[in-house]
Amino acid sequence: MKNLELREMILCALFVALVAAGAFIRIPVGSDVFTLQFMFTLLAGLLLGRRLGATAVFVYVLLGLIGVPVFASGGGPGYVLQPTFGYLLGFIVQAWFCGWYSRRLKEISMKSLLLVNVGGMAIVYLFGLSWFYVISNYVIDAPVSLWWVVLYCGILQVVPDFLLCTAAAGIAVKCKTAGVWVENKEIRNIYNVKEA
Amino acid sequence: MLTDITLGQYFPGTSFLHRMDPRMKISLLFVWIVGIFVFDMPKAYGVFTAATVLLAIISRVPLLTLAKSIKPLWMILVFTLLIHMCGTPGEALFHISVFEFTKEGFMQGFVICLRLALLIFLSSLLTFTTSPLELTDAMESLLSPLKCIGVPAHELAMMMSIALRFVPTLIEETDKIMKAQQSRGVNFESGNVIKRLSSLVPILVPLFISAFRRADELAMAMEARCYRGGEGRTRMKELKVRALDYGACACTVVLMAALVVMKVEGI
Repeated sequence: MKNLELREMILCALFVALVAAGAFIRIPVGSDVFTLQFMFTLLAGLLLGRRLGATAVFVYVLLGLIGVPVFASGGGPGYVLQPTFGYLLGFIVQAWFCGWYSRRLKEISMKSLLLVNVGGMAIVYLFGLSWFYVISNYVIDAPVSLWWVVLYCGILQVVPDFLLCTAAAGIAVKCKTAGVWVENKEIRNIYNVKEA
Repeated sequence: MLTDITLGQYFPGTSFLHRMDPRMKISLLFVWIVGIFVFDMPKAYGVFTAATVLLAIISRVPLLTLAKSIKPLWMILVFTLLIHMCGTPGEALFHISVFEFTKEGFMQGFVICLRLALLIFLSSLLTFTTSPLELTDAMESLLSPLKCIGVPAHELAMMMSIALRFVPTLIEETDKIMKAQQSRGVNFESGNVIKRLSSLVPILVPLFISAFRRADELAMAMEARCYRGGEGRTRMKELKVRALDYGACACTVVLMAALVVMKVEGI
């Protein structure tokens, strides 16, 4: 992170702003409410690559932890003790993973990116569920079984999250054709961006 | 629909808590959080609750606004309380079918909920009395000793400040793009899940393109003004630790010392 160029740094900052805004954009679908936070962290990894993507999400989490209310339910150092904090940690690793794997793909298509996203989703779940389990059992002393956690926080969330993954893949493909795509170690000159 | 989002719950004022140095506030908050977890005697909870209420009154943040900060965690608190009430053996208060709600369980659950609620109230007092920019400045200053092991404190703080500055701009832009697409016949308001999600594409793709362009423009503007990182950079508003911060620090030390004595002596 030390050798970030100025424009890379600013690009990260703008994605932090996008992720923060995404946590507040709520789309009511039936009885459920989608927040776009997860989709924006996926896109941060896909569009910015592993280094910038993970940096952006990391800065987002740090911003929330020092007390700026950018998370879906507030912010502050006490957030670490909330059962859902693990998802935020998962987002950082997932952004890195999506950036890393999508740059190794031979061909960027809707299908291949969707696969990358599903991999990222698995990482987020791994962190999110284990954090939820540990915090519930050892910090708030509410003994919940592992199976319960997997069912309510994992399986029941899969469908909406999978839809967000699909949307992110679709948007990333469009962005790639529009030139909004940071290749490894190279930041695209903005004047080459084609109009979408 | 999108323009009424305010990021940050900062509540401007001139109270004692508002005037404190943000670095001191963050450090003391950490001490308090650790304190709440270490001292688990009933009396200590009484002290912490009283202190939190006192701080809330001093800060002059409307109590209703403060109470709202617990809303997102409401479900977790109730759930924790219920689990404890029926999970702990003891004197029965009442029954609902096979579940037995006990007095001991209620006490235990109540203490744990109180602990969580205090955590939330204290953290939200920080955000209510400190503007987001003060927070990022404080973070830069607190992390700067770590610069020697390679933590880019200035860069992190700069990214945060830029992000905070651009959240309203990007939201406004999203709104503008949505209106532009609506005027071209895109329908965001109806259809099933798939349709609604696919209607995000014509919003987000232009949004990302414009974010990339903005980043480039801002980088150029900063370079034109000879920005070259935190090295040797001075600031307009220096953070200063003043008498009142030392006072708050002393109060915390006395409080924690008293609690340590209470814990050791077993009072």
